[in-house]
Amino acid sequence: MELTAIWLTLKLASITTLILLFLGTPLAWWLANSSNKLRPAVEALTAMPLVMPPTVIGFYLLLLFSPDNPVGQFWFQITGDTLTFSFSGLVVASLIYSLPFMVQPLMNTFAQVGKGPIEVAYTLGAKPWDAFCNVILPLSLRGYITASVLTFAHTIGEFGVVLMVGGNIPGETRLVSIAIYEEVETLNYAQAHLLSGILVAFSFIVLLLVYSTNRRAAMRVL
Amino acid sequence: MLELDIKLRRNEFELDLETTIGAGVTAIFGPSGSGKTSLLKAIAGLVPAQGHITFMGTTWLDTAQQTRTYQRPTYQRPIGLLFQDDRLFAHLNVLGNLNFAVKRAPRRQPEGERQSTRPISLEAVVEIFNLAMLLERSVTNLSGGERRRVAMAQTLLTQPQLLLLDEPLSGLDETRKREILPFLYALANEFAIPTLYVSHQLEEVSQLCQNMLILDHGALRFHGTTHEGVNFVEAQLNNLMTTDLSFLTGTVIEQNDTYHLTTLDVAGQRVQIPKSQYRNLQTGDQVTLNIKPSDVALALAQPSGISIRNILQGVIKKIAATERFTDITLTIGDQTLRSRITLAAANELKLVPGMTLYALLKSSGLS
Repeated sequence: MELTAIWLTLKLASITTLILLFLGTPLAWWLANSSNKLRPAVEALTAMPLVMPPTVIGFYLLLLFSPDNPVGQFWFQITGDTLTFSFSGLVVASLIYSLPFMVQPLMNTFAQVGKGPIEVAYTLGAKPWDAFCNVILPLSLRGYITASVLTFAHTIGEFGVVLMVGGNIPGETRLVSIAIYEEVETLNYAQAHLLSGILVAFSFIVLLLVYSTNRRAAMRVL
Repeated sequence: MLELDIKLRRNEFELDLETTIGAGVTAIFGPSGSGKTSLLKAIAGLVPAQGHITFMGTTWLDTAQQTRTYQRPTYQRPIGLLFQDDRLFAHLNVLGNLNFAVKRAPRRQPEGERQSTRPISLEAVVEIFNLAMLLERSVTNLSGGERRRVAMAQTLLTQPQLLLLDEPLSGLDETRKREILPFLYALANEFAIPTLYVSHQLEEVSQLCQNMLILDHGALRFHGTTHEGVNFVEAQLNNLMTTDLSFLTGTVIEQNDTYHLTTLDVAGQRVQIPKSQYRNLQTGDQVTLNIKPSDVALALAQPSGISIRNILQGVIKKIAATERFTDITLTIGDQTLRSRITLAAANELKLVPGMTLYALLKSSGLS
């Protein structure tokens, strides 16, 4: 049965979304508010995974993760595990691949909320962290929901990058999308149908949930 | 009290000003784009500026030493800033917006700088701004006037020692303005908090402010009493006259409760006005009247047997005829009064500069 693959996929998507929430917030905030000369370059870099073929990203990450490379070596030295063909490698790859799906909606929300509310918060005596948590976060709730769902769903649907970096090790790197590929390769259409059907239903339910809660969130925010 | 010596670069010009602002309500007056809002934001610490700002002996900004620039963060300056576009927090209801300020008010001043004055309570503010019915409402369901009242209440609840009001009446129609003005008057005058009031409307300035600071293209043109300031604008900055109203300043000499009238001494002559509904005037207080030129009639001799109670003697300074009307500028003592009459009337009266005339003002039209 493919329950292991389903569980592994959900685990990867959850971990990726959670980490990206923390990494994406300061990056999106900086991109929305900075007038630094480097801002366009950073914004372009962040958006790169949107336009590059997943195999290209996968290829470079594979080289980077290899124990011959300083990055891969460093990881091996501190964790005792390799980044290639491992779950941690999949997480790192997903963080890079799904980054724009977190950062862009957040950036748009922060830009939309604008400088007004935070200036008011300062004049009312709020320190920066207080102002962010009690004003910017609640006003950006809708953007956070959109960004999280897009990141989660996009990580689940990822194929090229994880195939290059992770391969097909059951319980470690064998995700649903890879399992489907393998079932089709071996002409096992019944299993492929089952898994594909689950993904189709899952995607629909998630989007349905988003659009219905999003309206409520929207009404609370607007 | 508030000592300013600041330079501030904007796209179009450089704001450069050095002055000391005292207690009371001080207008920052000038045309749009003269740097009024930038000045306010620099005092609040929301835009970077060069120079010094000292408030009641505490340094807020000091960029003198290149190596050790000091800028006190906005959240540690005991200011209450009322933004031009009232920016209430959309995720909180009215009470939530007020409590946001209440919770953070004590942090504003470090120990040792706290004043012993009694803090302004939430209950008091709710009553003054008539908010009891609105507390549970979402801020998105408020009218423009209601939003301003909530914003004013929020500003006061920060327990400010300096109020910064940025065009608080802009974007409101005449009805709303009249609705808000008494509240604004209470905000600026009843709590004895030093106030800076940004405006480009002489009517507002003359009614609400005792002192006036005139900015033009980033430079300080005038700083003195409102009375002198209005005359300064009339005499030298005609392009800043955004209104054709005249402004007469007088001193209260008598209050009549039977007829609800206040008598003023305007340049040695008596003027009676209806008692103000929101200002509790005392004998000796200064009042500035806003007078529409079309409300001023002229007579060659002192009329009698007439319902109009205010007859001021003046000398014609200037006559300007347009296609349909003649605008007469009169000098009354050191003050100026404008009258708009028809061409026919002007011709019949044979008016010439230097003539002595009587200006008739209806008491009920004065505020």
